[in-house]
Amino acid sequence: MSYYLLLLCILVLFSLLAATLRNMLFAAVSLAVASIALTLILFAVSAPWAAIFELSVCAGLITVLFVSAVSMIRKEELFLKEGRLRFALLPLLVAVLGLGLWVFGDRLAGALWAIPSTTEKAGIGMLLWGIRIQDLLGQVCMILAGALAIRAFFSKGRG
Amino acid sequence: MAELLKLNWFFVALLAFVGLYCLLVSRNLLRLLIGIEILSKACILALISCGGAIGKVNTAQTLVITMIVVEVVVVAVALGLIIRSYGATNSIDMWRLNKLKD
Repeated sequence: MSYYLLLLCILVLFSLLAATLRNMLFAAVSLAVASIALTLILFAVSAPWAAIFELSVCAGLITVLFVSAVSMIRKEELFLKEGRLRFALLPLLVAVLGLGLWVFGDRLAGALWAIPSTTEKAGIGMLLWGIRIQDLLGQVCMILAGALAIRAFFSKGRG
Repeated sequence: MAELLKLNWFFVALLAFVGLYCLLVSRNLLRLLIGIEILSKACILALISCGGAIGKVNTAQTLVITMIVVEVVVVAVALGLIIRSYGATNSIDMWRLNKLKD
């Protein structure tokens, strides 16, 4: 329980750091650490396939994409002057939200827990390649669309 | 297990809040993308919590896998757009993306 709570705290803490750190490189690395924490959480709740995807894609590929984008941008631009006062309000707002959840959270969660639990017979392979095969087709279309979009952005055509 | 998943809801709300806050207050285009990433992490945690609560973790996992694929395509395309816009305006400040007004 304490290990799980620690992972959730690390996830929120490093997400906060990613949202507030001025250095974009450190922000990207913080996001990667948050992804690793989420991976361990997914392992803890018996969702290993989602965890592996999260680790390889979110903590790996997306971090590489962010770091390569950061390396292409001038340093002065990365340290953009933003209104830091607005970020100073964040802890206060988080405290208010936490208090609200403390009071009303049980009622909200109770609504979900009222749904009867069922046992799942199909394994992940059967679900992914059989029942939800349309999702895979959608994923292939998304990847193709993304690849075409990137090609269109960086092509040296007549424009 | 059920107690662990109940605990998730507090953190899902916190993460979603942090992501939305990041989207609202930041002018840096890269940080906006980080805000979207944080929001998607909250969604992943919520999906898995829902799946665990109703005893359908495997279905939740397939949805999470689909979501991660969509997420990485969105990030790649958005970063491509940001790099192109940086080439055109020499800035990643959202407030300077006002050329269409001229």
